[in-house]
Amino acid sequence: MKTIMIVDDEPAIRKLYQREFSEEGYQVLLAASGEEALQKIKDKNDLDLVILDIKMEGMDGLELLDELRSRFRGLPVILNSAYSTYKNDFTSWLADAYIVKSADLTELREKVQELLAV
Amino acid sequence: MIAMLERMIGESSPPDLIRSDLEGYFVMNRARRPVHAGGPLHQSPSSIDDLLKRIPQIEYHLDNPDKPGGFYQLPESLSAKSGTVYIGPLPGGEEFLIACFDGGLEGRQISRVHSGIYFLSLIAQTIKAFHDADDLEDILRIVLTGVTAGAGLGFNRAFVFLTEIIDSRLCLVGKHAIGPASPEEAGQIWGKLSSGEITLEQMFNDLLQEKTRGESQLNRLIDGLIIELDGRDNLFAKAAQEKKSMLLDETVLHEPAYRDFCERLGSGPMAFVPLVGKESLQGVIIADNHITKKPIAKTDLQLLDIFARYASDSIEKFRLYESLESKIRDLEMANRMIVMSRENLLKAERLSVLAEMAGQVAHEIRNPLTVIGGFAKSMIRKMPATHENYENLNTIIEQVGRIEIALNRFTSLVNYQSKNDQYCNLENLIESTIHLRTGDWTGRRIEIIAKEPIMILTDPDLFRQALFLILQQAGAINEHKGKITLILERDDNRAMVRIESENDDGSFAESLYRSFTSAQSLESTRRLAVALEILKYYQGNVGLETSRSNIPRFYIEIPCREEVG
Repeated sequence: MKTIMIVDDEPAIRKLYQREFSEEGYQVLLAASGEEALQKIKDKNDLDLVILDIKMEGMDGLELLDELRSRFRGLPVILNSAYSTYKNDFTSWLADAYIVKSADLTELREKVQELLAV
Repeated sequence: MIAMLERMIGESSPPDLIRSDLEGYFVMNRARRPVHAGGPLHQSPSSIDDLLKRIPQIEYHLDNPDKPGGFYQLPESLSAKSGTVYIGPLPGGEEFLIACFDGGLEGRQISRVHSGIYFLSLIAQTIKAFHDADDLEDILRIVLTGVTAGAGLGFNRAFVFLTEIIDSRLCLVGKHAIGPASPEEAGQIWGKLSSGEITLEQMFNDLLQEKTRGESQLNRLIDGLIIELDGRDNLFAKAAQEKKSMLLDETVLHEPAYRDFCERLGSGPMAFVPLVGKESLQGVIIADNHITKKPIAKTDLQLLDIFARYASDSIEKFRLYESLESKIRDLEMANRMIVMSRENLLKAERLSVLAEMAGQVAHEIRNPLTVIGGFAKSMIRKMPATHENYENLNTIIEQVGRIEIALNRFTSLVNYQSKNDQYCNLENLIESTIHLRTGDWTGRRIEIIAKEPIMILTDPDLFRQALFLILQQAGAINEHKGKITLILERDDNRAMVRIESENDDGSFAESLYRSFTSAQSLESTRRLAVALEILKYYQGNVGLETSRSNIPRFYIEIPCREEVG
């Protein structure tokens, strides 16, 4: 079973994604901040993919992305933000995908499947 | 006008027109006040009233300025010797010349006096026409008309050349020509003048009203004719630089250096007179009697020289005025640009604030929308279509979709990114890109070789983004192949960043270049397309070249820009 981590400071979003991806058959880990995510990921083998919000208190999603890239090379990361403007920030281009949050989770679901299939 | 008269009849007069037997002269205005006087005789009368009393014809001419001047015997009470006095209006009719001559004048001398007065009239009318001129072209045509009209100096043809700097050299450039192109045309023009059909004043008026403008055959003769003055040891250069008039004829124009000139204008004789303004040499007038073949007398050259001095001042003033006008236009344009830039800056600042607010609003709305819509979709998937809430959930999903579409449109409208172009040192830009906290490059060996400091004009953040993406791709291709070297060089006005991989057999450069069109993933294609767009926005590009050792080499190019001011 593939393991996905959802990093988002919005409890309702975490709850929604947990429900959706659990139903898809993934094991879902949750983190409310960048710091909590780093604490939970001890090894690259702990998980297969990270869905990462950008705008968060403390360590934001882009900083966490940078850390993940240096600690766990090859770990797929999807940036999932309510902001579309971060697409212009080239730090965000380090991620494997950038998907703007939407009630329609089809795009996010398909991207997860695509990255985990590689 | 007084200075003119002084030059003509004073001791320093070059043309021997009136001077020979002149005892003295007065210039008087209509209010009977002396304006100017010269020569020994003018000191004799005790007062103007005395003069008027002793020469009663003066009153007649003062009262009748339209009447031509006349010669009268000088009263014995004024001079012990017998003498002659000329009394007549100066051009314009506001001032009168009273000139006394020793003894009786013969026909030839009287003719000279008339010629002198006539020449003064020409100068007066020319100056008046200068005042009515609108531009330099008018001035040049007036000058040439004065030189050629039968009622003027009477040359057949006249050409004006003005000084210009061409390729950092001072040159005379053919500007205007006036005169008949053939004896037939000459006959028509001079016939009109001699029959009184047209006066010099009318010719000037016609000229200023653009009745006679157009490309003449003579103008075509001097079109593109350039006489170099700098560093040339030729007659024209010498005469122009020494500001000296001269007569040109076959004896001096036979040299090969003057072939083009002679082929166009003939080999003389012709008068060459410099146009010397207060500040500098403005050009030259060249005039000849190509049609009538009448010899050019020394006096003709001297009169043309005097005429040229008046013309020079006007030409210089108009050229200064035109240059000033051009500078004012440039300043106005610069001012408009500053105002526009300021307005654009204000707009950009406002848009930037709006974009930030829109982003925050979008975030605040999009998160709850995602939750509401997401849960509604999750619930409806597990609900039979017959359930009493199915329709309600469907309505929620539809409405959330509508709001999301509106939100997307709104944010795309205000997604504004202002550019901050500035002069940047290319090496510093590359170094700061490499030292960005990019985990992907940890442990990689990247070396920069900068052969000289190179400045470019760019938005540093945008340029770093482009470079970052290209280097990221280079790193991916070169994953286990060793050091990457960036060589910075200037190639004419282009800054070149050549990217080389250690021990590359050419495949690295080719793969990197191909990535821009056929990257392995859509994501990297998109990113490299963005990098290329940024480079192209700043007139840059990427390319593949062959090095000296025949190995393909990848390069980035962008224009070098030196900081202004």
